[in-house]
Amino acid sequence: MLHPILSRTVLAASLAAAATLTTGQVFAEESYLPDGPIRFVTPYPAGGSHSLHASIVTAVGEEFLGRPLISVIRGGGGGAVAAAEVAGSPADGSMLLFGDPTINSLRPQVEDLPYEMDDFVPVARINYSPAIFVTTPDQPFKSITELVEYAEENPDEVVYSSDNRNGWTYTVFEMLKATANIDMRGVELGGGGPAVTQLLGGNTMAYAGGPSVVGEHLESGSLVGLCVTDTERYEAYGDIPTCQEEGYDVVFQFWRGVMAPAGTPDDVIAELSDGFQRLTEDEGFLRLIGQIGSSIQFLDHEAFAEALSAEQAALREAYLGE
Amino acid sequence: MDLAVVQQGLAMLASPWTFLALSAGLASGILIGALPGLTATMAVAVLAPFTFFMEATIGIPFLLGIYKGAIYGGSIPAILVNTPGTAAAAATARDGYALTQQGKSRKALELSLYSSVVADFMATLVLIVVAIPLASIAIRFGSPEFALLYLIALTMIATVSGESFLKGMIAAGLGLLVASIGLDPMSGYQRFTFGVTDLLGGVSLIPLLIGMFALSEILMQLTHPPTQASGDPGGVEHGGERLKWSEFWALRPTILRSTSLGTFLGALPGLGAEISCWIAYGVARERSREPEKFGKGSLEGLAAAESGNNAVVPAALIPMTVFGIPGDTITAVLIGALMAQGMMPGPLLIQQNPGFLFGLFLVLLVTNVLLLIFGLAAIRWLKHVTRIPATVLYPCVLLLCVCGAYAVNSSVFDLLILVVGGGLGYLMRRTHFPVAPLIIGLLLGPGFESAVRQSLVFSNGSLAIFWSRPGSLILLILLALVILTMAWRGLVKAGVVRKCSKSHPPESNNT
Amino acid sequence: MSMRAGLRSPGSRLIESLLAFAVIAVGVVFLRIVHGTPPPFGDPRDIGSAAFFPGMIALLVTGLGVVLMMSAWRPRFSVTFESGNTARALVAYALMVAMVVSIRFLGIWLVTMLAVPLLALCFGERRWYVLLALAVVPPALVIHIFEGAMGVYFPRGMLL
Repeated sequence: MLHPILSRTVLAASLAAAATLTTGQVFAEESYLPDGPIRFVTPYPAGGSHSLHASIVTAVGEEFLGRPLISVIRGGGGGAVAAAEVAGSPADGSMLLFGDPTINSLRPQVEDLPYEMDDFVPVARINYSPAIFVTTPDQPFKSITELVEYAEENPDEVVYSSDNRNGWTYTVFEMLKATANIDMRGVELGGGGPAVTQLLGGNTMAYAGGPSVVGEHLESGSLVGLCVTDTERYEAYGDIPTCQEEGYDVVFQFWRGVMAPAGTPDDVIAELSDGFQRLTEDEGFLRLIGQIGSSIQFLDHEAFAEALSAEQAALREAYLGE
Repeated sequence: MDLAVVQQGLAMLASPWTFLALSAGLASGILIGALPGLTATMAVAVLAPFTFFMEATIGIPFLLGIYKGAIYGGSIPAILVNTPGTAAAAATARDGYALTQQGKSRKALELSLYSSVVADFMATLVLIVVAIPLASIAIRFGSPEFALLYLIALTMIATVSGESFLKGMIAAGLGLLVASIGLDPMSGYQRFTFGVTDLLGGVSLIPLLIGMFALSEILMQLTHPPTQASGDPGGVEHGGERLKWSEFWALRPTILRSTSLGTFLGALPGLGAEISCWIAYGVARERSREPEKFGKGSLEGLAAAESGNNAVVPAALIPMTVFGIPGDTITAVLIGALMAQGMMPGPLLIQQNPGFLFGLFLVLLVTNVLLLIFGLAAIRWLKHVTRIPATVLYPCVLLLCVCGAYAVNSSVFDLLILVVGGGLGYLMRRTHFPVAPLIIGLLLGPGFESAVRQSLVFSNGSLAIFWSRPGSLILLILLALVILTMAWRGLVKAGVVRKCSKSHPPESNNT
Repeated sequence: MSMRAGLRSPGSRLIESLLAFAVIAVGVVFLRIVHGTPPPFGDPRDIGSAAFFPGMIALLVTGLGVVLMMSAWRPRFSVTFESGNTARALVAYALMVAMVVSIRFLGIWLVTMLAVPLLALCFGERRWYVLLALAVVPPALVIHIFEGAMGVYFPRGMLL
C-alpha cells in the first residue's frame, strides 16, 4: 500500500511545482481576461461523462488560465437552458460553455431554441469520443452487418436504447437507419445510465454510447461492440471495426469543447485558447483524463472553428437537405 | 472470502486517514444537508474534484460520508423549522415539525437519528450479503414495471390528503401539471413554457419545495404568532422530553417495513430517496392503528419517512457495485469519482480489487456508528434552536432559503420560483389544501409519464405490455389490491363520518 | 389547535368559490394549449404523444375544480377558515418579492442585508442593535459558507 501513496505524493509535489511555474508565466504577460472568476458552465446535470470532464477541467484549470475556474452545473432542456444563458452573458470571457455537437451544431438547426448557432464562437476543443454501437451477447446478431440484416428481415422489431430526441445516441442511430435503409424503434430513456441499464436488463437490443459509458461493460464481456462511429478504430478497443470499414458511412465525433458568447474580443479568445492548450498538455490533467477512459484531441480556436463549421454544414445537409 | 481480501479491507478501515476523511465527510455532509438547497447530489458533485488528487482509500470514504451525512442532515431543519433540507426530507417535515410544535423537538430529532441509523445499517447488510441476486432482479425492471410502480406511488396521494380528499386530488393534479412544464425529452416539444427560456428545463423542484415549505412557514408564523396560538412555550424551550426506549421498540415493525421498502426501491436504478420516503410514509399510514395521528406528530410517520429515505443510500450502491450502473444521480457522481481514481465500479472492480470493495463495505457499516455519535452530539446543540426567538430565527431561515434556492442552479429565475412557491404554499395552507400531494405529483409526474410512453414504444403501442410481462402482472395485481383496500377503507370511513357528524366532530387533542 | 376566530360560512363560501374558479381557470388554460390548432404537442388522444398526459391531467383538474365549486354551494357547507394577521404576512410577502426582483440590480449583499432586518421588523423586533446585528452577521456568515465552501457565486449588484 505504501508504494502508490509515495509515488503519488511525489507526483503531486512535482505537479504543484510545475503549476507555480506556469502561473508565474501567465501573470508575467499582459492578460486580456476580465478580473474575477471565469464561470465554466456544464449544460447537463451532474453525474454524466460531460460533467465529469468539466469537473476535471475546472479542478486543474486555474493554474493555466490565471483566473479561478468555477464549475457551474446548469442542466435542463437537454442543454438548451445553459446554452441560452451563456449566449446572453457578457461577451468578455467571464462565462464559458462546455459545449458539444448536439448543443452547438445540431439542435439549433432542427429545433426552435432560444439561441442560435451563431451566438457562440469556438475557443478550444478539448477532445472527442466516437460512439460505439453495442449489444448484449445473447442477441441474434454479433456484428453491425448482422444487425442490419436482422433489422431488414424483421422491420421495426429491433428496439434500441436511445437518449433524448436529437441527442447523441439518437443521431447516430438515425444516421445508421438512413444509410442502411432499415427501420428500428428507439426508446428515449433520457441518458446513458438508464439506456445501458435497459440494455443489460434485456429490455432493449442495442445502444450506442461513448467509451466512458460502455467501456467497462465491453471489458467485462457483458456488452459486445459492433462498430465505432469514427474514421479510425478506437485505440483501447482495437478489435471493434469502424462503421465505415463495415460499409456503413456513420461518422459522428462527439466533441467536448469550450465555447464563448459571440462578440468576445479575439485577444480574449486567443488567450483562453492558449490557456486550455497548456492545460491539455499538463501531466496531472492527462493522468486524470486517462483514468476516466478518455483522451485529448486538442484543437485551438482557429482549427476548431474550421472543424465546427464543416460539421455544422454536414449536419445541415444530412438533416435539412440544403 | 479470501483472507487477503479481508485483511486489505480491515487495513483500510484501520488507517487513521480513512477514518479522518470519513468523519470530516460525515460532519460536512450533515451541515450541507441541513442547509436548504444544498442537496447531497450537489455536495458530492462539488467536492468530488478535490478527491481526484487524494488516495482512493481517503477520497472515496470522504464522499460516502458526505452522501450519508447529507441525507440524514436534511431531516434536521425539516423537524425544527419545517424546511426540508433536501427533497428526501419532505415527508419528515410533516410529523417532525408537528412534534416540534408540540414541544417535542428533541424526541423527534432522536427518533429521526435512530431510525436513520437502523435503516442504513440494515440496508448496508443487504448490500453486502445479497447485492448480486437483488441486483439481477432489479435490472430486469423495464419501463412497464416502473410505470406501475409510479402508479402505486401515486395512490399514496390519497393517504396524505388529510381531511379533504378532493383538495388533495386537486393539489396532486396541479403538481402533475407543473411537472409537465419544460422540454419533453422524447418528442422535443417545448411544453407550456410560455416563451420563457428558463422554463425549458422545467420548474426546478428544490426551489419550489423550499418556497412551499419554508417561506410559507414564515408567512404562517406572521399570520398566527405562536405566543397567541399555542401557549406553553416553557416545554418548547428545552426541546422537551427524550425518546423512550419503549416508544422506539414499539416502532420496530414500521421501521422494518420502511427499510425493506426503501432498500428495494433504492436498488432499482432510477428511483431515489425523494420517492421512497413518501411510499414508506403512505404504507406506514395504511398499516397503522392510529392513521388519524399522521401529519399531527405521529412517531410512526416520522420513523417511516426517515428509515424509508435512509435505506435508499446503501441500496443505491447495489446497481453501482454489481453492474457499474448508477442507481441515482449521486451514485452517478460517485462513479465519476471512482473512475478518476482509476477504478471503474462494476463486475471488474469485484474481480480485480475485492479488497477495496470489502473495505468500502466495512467503512459503510462504521459510518453508521459515527453518524450516531455525531447525531447525538448535534442534537445536544440543536435542541436549543427552538429557543431562538422568532424575530431572529425566521429572518435567518429566509436568508438560507434564498441562498440555497439560488445555489441549486446558480439561477436568479429559481429565486422567482422560490417566491411563487412560497405564495402558493401560504395560500394552500390558509385554505386547507394539503401541500404533500402537490409535491408527490411534482416528483412522480415526469417519471410516470415517460415510463408509460417508453413502454408503449417497447410494445409498439399495445397496452398489453402492462400485464403480459411477469413483473408487470405482479405489480398490476398489487396496484389493484392497494386501490381496493383504499376504496374499501374509504367507504367504511365515509359511513363512520356520517354517523359522527350528527354528534360532534372530534376535536384534535394536542396540547 | 386552540380556538381561533374563524370566518363564518358566507365568507368561507366566497373564498372556496374563488379557489375553485382559480383551479378551473388553470385547468382550462392548459386544456386550451393542449387542444390548440394545430395541436402543439401532438394528438392529445394518442397515449404515446406528448400531449396525452398533460391533456388528461388538465381535464382532471378542471373537473375537480367544478366539483369543488359545487361542493362550496351545497347547503351543508361547513368549512371555516381561520382568520389571522394576513396583512402582516402580505407585507412580508411583498418584501420577499421585492428582494428577489431587485437581486439582479442590487446584488446579494445589499439585498440580504436589507431583507433580513426588515423581516425581523415584520416579526416585531424593534431593538436597533439586534436589527443591526441581523443585517451584518447572518448574511456575512451564510454568503461566505456558500461562496467559500460550495463554490456558488451569487449575483453582484452595482454597489457590492
